[in-house]
Amino acid sequence: MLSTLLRLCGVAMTAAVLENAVFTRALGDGALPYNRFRPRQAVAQGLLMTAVSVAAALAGWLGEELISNYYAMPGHLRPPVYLMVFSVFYAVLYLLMTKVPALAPLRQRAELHPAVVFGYIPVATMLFIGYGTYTLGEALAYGFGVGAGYLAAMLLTYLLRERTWFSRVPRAFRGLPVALMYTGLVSLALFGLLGHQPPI
Amino acid sequence: MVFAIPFLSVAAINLRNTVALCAALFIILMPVSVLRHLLREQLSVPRWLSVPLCSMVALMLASLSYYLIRFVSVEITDALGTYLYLLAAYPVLAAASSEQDIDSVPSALRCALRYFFRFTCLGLVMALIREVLAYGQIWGIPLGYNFRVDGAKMTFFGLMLMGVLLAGVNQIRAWAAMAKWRRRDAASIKPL
Repeated sequence: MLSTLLRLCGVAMTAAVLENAVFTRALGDGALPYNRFRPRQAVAQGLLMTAVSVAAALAGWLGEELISNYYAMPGHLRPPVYLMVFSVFYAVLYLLMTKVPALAPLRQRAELHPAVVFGYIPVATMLFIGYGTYTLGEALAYGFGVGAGYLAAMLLTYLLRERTWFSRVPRAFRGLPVALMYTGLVSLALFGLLGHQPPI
Repeated sequence: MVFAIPFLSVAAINLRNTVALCAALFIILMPVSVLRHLLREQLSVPRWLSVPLCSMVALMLASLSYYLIRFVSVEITDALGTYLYLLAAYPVLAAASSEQDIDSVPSALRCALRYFFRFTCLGLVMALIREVLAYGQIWGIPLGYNFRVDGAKMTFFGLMLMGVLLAGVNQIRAWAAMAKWRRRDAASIKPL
């Protein structure tokens, strides 16, 4: 039991810091503009992204199970199958949230914008799980880890904004350039911590 | 260019990979931009349906581009990994048409082409710098010196290099705008 729990925690932590790709993806994903949000909004968006990532991980796992057990196909033709399963999950959830009156408050709080649901993080999660050899529990733990990593990335981005607000950043570097340099430094620190280059 | 960050900072480490990535982007972006315009503007399909449809078509085109790139080089497809399929993520498709109102199929294609051109230019410059520093070669041809910067292959280098290049573009634009303003100012001063 303990070893299973430790393994799941390991999978989740790996997902959270995987190749700093969460940071690169977080800068272009989500419904929040990276230079204008507050920490509370980041936490809410992080929770939403965690739910979406878990659904994407589940879709990847389910897609791989369907392909392995029913219809073998080459590796490069599998991603559309994973996306089809994920799209079915999204369509069901969207219809439930719009048609069921009891879920209306949830819809107001958690806007499932399609551009966020089909963004980098869910698609990447779905592909990693689909191409990997994860069990169902590991896939769900991976989804939670990705959401936690995204939340950490958004809070770090908020810290960046706070630091650069009170600094004299050269005019040419204001906005995205300084955000990229800051993210690169955080990435360098994580690279030093991990000590190697995890696969992308 | 926020949506190009994952590809240019992580996957674009040499010219061959970047050219393959740009080719895949072209194969995916052009048809899907037209499809997106048709679904949203002409057929008024709701967003919750048009987005998954566009993503699905984009992913199928990504699988097609995998086939085509594999004919050229198997190593490139292995090196690109999941980043080839990540081109089908919706932010990439939406970014091509985010800046302007698109009211016809030719304007959708024009916007997509503009985005592709910017992505390619930035990607090729970054890939050239990283390949020269990390591998001491250009397109696989050695340059004949032993100095290497292994860190140029890593994500952090790509992020910082992209930041520096974008700052350079901002500065050049500022200088061009200042020169244009000075010329207009000088032209508007009438002699007494």
